[in-house]
Amino acid sequence: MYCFIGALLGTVVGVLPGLGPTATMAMLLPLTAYLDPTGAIIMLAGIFYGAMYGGSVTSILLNVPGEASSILTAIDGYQMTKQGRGGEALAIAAIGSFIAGTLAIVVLQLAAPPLADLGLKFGAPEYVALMLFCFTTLVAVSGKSKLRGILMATLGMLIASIGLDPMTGRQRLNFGFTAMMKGFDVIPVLMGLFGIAEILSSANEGLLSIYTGKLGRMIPRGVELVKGLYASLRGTAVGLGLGILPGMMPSVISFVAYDVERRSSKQPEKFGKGAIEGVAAVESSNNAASEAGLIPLLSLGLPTNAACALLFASFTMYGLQPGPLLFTQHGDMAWTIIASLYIGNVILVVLNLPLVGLWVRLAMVPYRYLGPVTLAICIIGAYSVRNTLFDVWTAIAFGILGYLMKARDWPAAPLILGFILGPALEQHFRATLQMSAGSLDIFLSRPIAILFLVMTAAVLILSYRKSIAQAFKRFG
Amino acid sequence: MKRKYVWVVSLAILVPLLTVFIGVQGVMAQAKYPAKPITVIVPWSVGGSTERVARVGAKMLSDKWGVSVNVTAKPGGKGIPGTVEALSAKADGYTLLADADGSNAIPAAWGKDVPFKIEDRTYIAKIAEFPWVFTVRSDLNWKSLDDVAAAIKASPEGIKWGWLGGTAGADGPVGQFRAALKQKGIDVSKVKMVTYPGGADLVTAVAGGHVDIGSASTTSVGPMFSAGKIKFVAVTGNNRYAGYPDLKCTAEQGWKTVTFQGHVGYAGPKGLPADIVKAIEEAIGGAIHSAEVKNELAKIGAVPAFAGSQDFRKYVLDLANELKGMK
Repeated sequence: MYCFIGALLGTVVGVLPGLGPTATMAMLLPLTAYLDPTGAIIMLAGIFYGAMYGGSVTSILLNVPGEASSILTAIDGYQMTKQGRGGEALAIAAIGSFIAGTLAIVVLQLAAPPLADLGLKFGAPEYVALMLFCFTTLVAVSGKSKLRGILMATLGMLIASIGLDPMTGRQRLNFGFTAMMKGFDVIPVLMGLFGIAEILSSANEGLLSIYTGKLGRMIPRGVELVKGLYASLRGTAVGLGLGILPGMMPSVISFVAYDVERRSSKQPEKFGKGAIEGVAAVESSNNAASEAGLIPLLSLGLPTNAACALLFASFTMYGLQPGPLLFTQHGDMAWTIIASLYIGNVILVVLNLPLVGLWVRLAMVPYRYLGPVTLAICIIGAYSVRNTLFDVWTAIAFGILGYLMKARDWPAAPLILGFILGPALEQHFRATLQMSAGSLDIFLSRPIAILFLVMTAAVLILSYRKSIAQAFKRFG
Repeated sequence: MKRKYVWVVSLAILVPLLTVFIGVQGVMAQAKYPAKPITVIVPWSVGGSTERVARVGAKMLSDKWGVSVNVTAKPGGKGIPGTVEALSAKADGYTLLADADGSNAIPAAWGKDVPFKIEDRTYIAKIAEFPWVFTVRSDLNWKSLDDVAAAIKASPEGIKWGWLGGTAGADGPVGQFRAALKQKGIDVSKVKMVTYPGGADLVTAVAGGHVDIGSASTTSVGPMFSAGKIKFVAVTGNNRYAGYPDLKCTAEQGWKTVTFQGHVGYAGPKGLPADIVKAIEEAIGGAIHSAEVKNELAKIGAVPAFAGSQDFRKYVLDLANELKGMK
């Protein structure tokens, strides 16, 4: 019951752009204080789920991702909506999430401790290699021009380095403003680049509603469904594999899943133009990853992302210490949570498949109403992250930037990828060099790092094989 | 022309309204403190130790006065922007700062171009203190700080020491331990200091064997310790920590200068009226020894450690002086 309320609340709040799982949980956390510990934690888990799914609704229908990990859902999902296939996209997102969620819980139940151990093997050098691999997915998301994509990613990294040096705390690029020492948070940037920019350009095009065609089917046709299911299985595998790594960001995982899917597809050119596999893979990997994140949380007390950190805080608020002892000391509690996760998944599907029709109708609201409302919610979302007006100005500034970029056909996804990955890469790279006293040999002494570096090289060679072959021909 | 008319009308309504509003506020300010909700700004994330102690403090105030006390987290920028915001608010007692070593002594001693001076704020009351734990890789047979010192002496360049770059409370014990090692003639300059962005990342790195030693809060080390992924060598302070009764404290091990405790208290903007300071001081001092408060703090690994306005100020300034030159 708590789980149902949680999932419902989570979806409803999560549907509002800018309010991803973390913000939703932080907002609803005080509400759970009136319940007993088990009920409260189950409800929080429900909220977590619901908010994850809610985020994809706006990505698909309005091209406004609620959080970093649904940026890629927006790419293909919004195209599908424009083609009148919004219902299908939403359905596959729900089905994919369900498959991924259920499989992830089975794994969580069976193999939590050894998997958590594996996650610990990832130190700074391994993360550097993995980040480099992620950057090669840039090619996949940069649209028509690779050069523009790389330039945008660089700009993203540059913007991300505003604030304080993460290692020494020294101010950099803040031009002496105290407010800018905080740097830009990812949510206001997202709200600006995607949300506000989308609203501005739609208003400019004089769009009355997002699409005036028919609702579209609710359930994808047979072939599409099969394609989507396979894609969601692959997405689940990626999500599970990377989700157990501490400090791994869900957004990174979704980039990898999208790339894997595009590469394994027979028609990679369809991606970015409304490929159902794109939506399915990203949504499944998101869900699998968020549940895989519970593995280190429950077995080692290790929060892998901000939402898990909030769950961790609510555990300790009730005097429960997540970790191996949770199962021995509070066994009933631990198993209740796991059972509630199963139920939560079922509830999400039951709740959302019928609601698909409702959400789709949302997209048919005339834009003159929908636009301003979305704009207001985007701004509230930006404010809610850190309770500062600075973030609101950030969102507006990035909205204008995003609008200009859209008009000139500069891709926004690489910018946000650079913005998210840049600081992580910097931090891990500098920590690596501190470990090795400045020598790069450390990468070659770490087997996992070598594996990712070889994969990165392979991907680069494959993507550019034509130009490399031409170069060889030319120079004999 | 019509649009101009609208402007005139709205101004005609707004101006008197604002005047009345400001007038009401003025009257309210003269009423007995507290006459409206109080905001406590936490310059760190929700769920961290500062935020949670601040909530315990907020409950003491709202229980006594029946006004709501809102704890608002404004994280980012190593706590500095949030601190500046709280301290530049009106000195009327309705905006307070949840002040901790990360926003007072540490930036004052080690920070670079910090935009505030720690002398320029009103210290109201210290609420709680909590110890730090020195944790090491589980496959090392170090059992005490002496073992760590011996290992560093034998091969300083072979040791990887994780910390937060001298920007947070967790680095207090690091500074003290390094200074104590130097005093014993042990060369710490060749030890590889590896910087992590937060306490949880640091504990994970120790558990994964990526660094050899680090210091962290009792709440963040608990799960990894019970999983057998990390070992402890000492808890800082003059007393053992109730959660780990077998773990010897630093003073007991003969490292009397390595007793750093984290603290959280309330501070406010410069020039906060003395009667307001006194009111908050009394409210916290009166409730601090209740079993409920003790219980709430124990969940965070903290103990009640009340200090009034003057003592709190002296405590912070002394701490900052001690830490200077230790990094």
